[in-house]
Amino acid sequence: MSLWIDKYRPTTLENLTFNQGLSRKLKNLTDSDFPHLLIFGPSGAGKKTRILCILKELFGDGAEKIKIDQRSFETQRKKLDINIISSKYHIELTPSDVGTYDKIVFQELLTEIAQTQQIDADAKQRFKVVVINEADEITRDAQAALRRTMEKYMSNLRIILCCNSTSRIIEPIRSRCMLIRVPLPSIDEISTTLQHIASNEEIHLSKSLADKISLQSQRNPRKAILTFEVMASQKKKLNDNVEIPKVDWEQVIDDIVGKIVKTQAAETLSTVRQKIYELQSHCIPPSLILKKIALGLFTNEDIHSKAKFDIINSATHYDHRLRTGRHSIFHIEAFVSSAMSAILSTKY
Amino acid sequence: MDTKLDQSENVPEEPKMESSKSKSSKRAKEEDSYSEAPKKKLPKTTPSAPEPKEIPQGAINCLLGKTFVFTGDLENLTREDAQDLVKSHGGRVTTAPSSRTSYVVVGDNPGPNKLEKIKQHNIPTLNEDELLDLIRNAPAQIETPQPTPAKGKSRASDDMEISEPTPSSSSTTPLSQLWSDKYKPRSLKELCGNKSAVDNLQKWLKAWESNLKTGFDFNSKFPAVLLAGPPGIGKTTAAHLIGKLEGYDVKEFNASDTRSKKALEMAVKTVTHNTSIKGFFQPERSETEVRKMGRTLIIMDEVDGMSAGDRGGVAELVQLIKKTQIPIICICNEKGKKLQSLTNVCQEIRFQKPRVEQVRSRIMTIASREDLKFSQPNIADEIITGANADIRQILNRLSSWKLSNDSINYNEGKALNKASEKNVILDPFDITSRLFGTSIWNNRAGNVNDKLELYYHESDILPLMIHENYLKIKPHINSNTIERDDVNPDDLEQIAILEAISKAAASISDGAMCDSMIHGSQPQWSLMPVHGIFSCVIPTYYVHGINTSGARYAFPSSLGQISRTNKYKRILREIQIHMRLKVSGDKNEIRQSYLPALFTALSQPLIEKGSDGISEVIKLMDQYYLNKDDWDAIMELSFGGDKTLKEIDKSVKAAFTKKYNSSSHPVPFLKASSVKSSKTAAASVDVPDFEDAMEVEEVAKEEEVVSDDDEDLSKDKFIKQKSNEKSNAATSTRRTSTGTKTRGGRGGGRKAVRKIK
Repeated sequence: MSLWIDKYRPTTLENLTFNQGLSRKLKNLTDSDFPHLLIFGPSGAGKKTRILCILKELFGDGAEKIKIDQRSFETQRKKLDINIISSKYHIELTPSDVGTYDKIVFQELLTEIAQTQQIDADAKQRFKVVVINEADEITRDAQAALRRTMEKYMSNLRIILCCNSTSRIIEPIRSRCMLIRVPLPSIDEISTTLQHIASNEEIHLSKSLADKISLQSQRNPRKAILTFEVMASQKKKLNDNVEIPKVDWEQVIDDIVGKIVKTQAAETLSTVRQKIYELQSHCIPPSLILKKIALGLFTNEDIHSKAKFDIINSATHYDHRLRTGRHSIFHIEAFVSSAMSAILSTKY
Repeated sequence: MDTKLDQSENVPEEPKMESSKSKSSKRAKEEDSYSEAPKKKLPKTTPSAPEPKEIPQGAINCLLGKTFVFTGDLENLTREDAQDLVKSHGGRVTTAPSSRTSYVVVGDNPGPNKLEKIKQHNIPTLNEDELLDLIRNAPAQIETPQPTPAKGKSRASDDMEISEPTPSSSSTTPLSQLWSDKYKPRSLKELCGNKSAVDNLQKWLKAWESNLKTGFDFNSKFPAVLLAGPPGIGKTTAAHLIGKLEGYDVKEFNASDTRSKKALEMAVKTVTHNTSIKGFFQPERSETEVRKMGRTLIIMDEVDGMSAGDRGGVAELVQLIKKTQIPIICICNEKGKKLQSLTNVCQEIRFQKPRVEQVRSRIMTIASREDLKFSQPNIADEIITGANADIRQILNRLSSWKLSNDSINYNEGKALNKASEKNVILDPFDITSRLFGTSIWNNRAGNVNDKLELYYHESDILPLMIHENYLKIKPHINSNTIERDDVNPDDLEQIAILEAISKAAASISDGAMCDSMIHGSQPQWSLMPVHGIFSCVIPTYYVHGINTSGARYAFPSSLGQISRTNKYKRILREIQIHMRLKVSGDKNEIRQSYLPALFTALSQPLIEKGSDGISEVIKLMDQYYLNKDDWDAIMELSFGGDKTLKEIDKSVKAAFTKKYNSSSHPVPFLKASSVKSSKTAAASVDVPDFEDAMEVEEVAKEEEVVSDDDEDLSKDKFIKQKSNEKSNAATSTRRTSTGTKTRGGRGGGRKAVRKIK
């Protein structure tokens, strides 16, 4: 028994529920000369699922049989381990796992893969595919190492980059790839999927509750399905008035927002700092924390609209700093303090 | 004010009295509202940025015999500069006005108490200009005419007390001996300060013999003493003197002797069990003296230096003290943790650094013996304070000065201090409290560079310290900074405080940007001053004042957070890679969406169904290739996980661990070398990983077809071979793997129990 999200995961391009126009386009691509792809879009929209479907379309069922290997690299200073997920036809890397050493992964591993030919003589395609995850986390140096490989070994290799946003992918790489954006599905689409799952699991789910779940999940189908499963496991009866549970870290952020709205003082900032430390250490990315706090304040009705303008303004300012500066806590704290200051000065 | 100036310029003496009187009465009037005083003055005299005035170079010692008191802020000179000016012309500076005060120099915002006193004693007052005029016009005076009566007397009496240094051939061979040895105290009276400490030491040594007979209780009667105090104030000298005085043969061990456990044992044993023969060769001793002469006293000097090389030295010393037959005096500078055990067996006597008055006369005498002329009597004071009352240091400084000069004046004395000043590295806590304190932000307390200087003491840790602590400070706010009339003052203060904090936070954020550039891929160290300004100076400019928390400044907790974050990141990566065969999401997705769902799915059955839920949970874990460690990690990574863990029944948890470890589970992969063998091992296990087994076999079969020359083939062949020999090879590996697992399992179970506690 796996979680529903994996149980009901579509495995072929035809079965994909959302963005069917896009799926058709991809299918046509696999028939013709297949380019390098840069697939991007918000998380949960189905990028990975699509990549798997593409691979299946390209190579057949063999692409589904995957295994994990661990490769070690020696640098001057330390030994690096990287996990490689591979089938006969493709290989999947997450270079950002090794942090700033990701350049070595490309220089050593990728060239090695690129220089060998497809070993399966019966394979449908003459090229192998390398899927690179979290491409927006790759350092600029590593991206530069990638660009020449992409052209030189075109006969052996196709690369599929997968990321959330193209803004951190350097221009030369973007120009070598076909850009494909996978948008989030609409609420209706998600609700339909939820109800489909519900009927298969023999649970009654009304349309309005399905809509509610979809809305609460911010149109993220993965989150919607997981939330639904949690609800189903907790309460047998799902009527329209059921409160939709928030995930643990969102509760913490709600708590922070509540504190900021209630009292604006140095003490609050101290407690907020502790909470942010907690979130960060529990692997919630700083930019997500900032974004969620900002949105939480923005949608709060107790805050004067004049302050909201300042809040969003400083949120964008400090979000940029999170990307470029060190010590993320400094920036988040600066944002919170400026938001507090804005709220307090419009209070009177 | 202008008229007053004119007057004082023309006739320096008489009208000043008058004017100052009128001024003091004016001051008195202003007392209740003295904060307004500067404002009133402003239009009349100088604007906010006064022209720098020329500092006069008066005649030598023109202020000799006059006593000055300063109050309030002067216009041009800082308080210190002004005091130096007075001192360099031979005047004395005291802190509180009294009947003996000759002048009070009054600046802006004078202290009300002092004004009161001035009125009481009818002391003439001066403002800055008048002071400068006084210096300009006062006649030079010959040296030593009229030191204050009390001072002169004490010096005379002290002079007599000091014994002649042995052969007084100082002028002929100036460097035959260090001054500090040459003028070493030769009697108790010559010791400067610490009278009570010395008395205590003497008392202890006197009572030692009788205490030895009755036995030491380590409560009021100790076999040893520990003298603690800063260097250069005569601890060793005192110990030697008293030892000699009480008729002991003094044997000294110091840091230059080996003092490891063994060496100490050897050296001391010979001393403690022997009798000094010195006494026998000196005839005509009274009986008591002979008895005493047979005894030895050990001085363990510099015991705080008994570290690294002298392993076990302190412990041995403690043992030694416990069974000693002779008195032991230990001497140290600071009693730290290292000497904790020693303090238990020693009576502690603290040596304080002597006060200036206690040292002054001795320094003066020595100087006159060595023909070093002090052009002003207060030079000695300056040098003493400058050297932190370290007598040895003072003598060394003076003796090196004497090599090239025969006299010293005030400014030279100050320069001498400055030259030999130690560059103290401040610790981050000190710097933090200094930056947050109000005194450094006082108008006169130095410029931006002085504050930036503090940053360089600890450029790495200080920004973190500032960030850690700035929220604890209640900022010193001038609420007039915000102009709003629609808000009541209390709220206005709140707004102003928050605004200051927010500005400080913004600046800290700016600092972090600089930091990332400095430590980035292209290090730009030239940005360090900018970093210092942004991360330390500006934040503390906005937020400085009283530390409201009352506690000490805390060490940056962000450092601990980083290691914690890294640990959890590693755990999360592990979970992700285990789940990877089933789940497409990246780490963040796993954390943000899957974990909450898995958390409930993995804990709820155990809470609700107890032991019946175990198999359900294990099935789910196997599905996602999660092992027991991952289960623990998921609980730890989720908020409220510890609470949920408590809800799970202890016995259920133990049963869960036991059951998990008793069965085999699929593994997605094993590290490096053992990858293939373990996979086949897992494949042979029947129920849960059937799928996996199929997969491997299929892969193997498919790869059989592949052409021989490919390098990948070796791997594939390996797999194939393994699966062929599955029956024997795999079972053996399996046996070993389960074996290790149960072992680990017991450990895991223990861990779980510990957690419940």
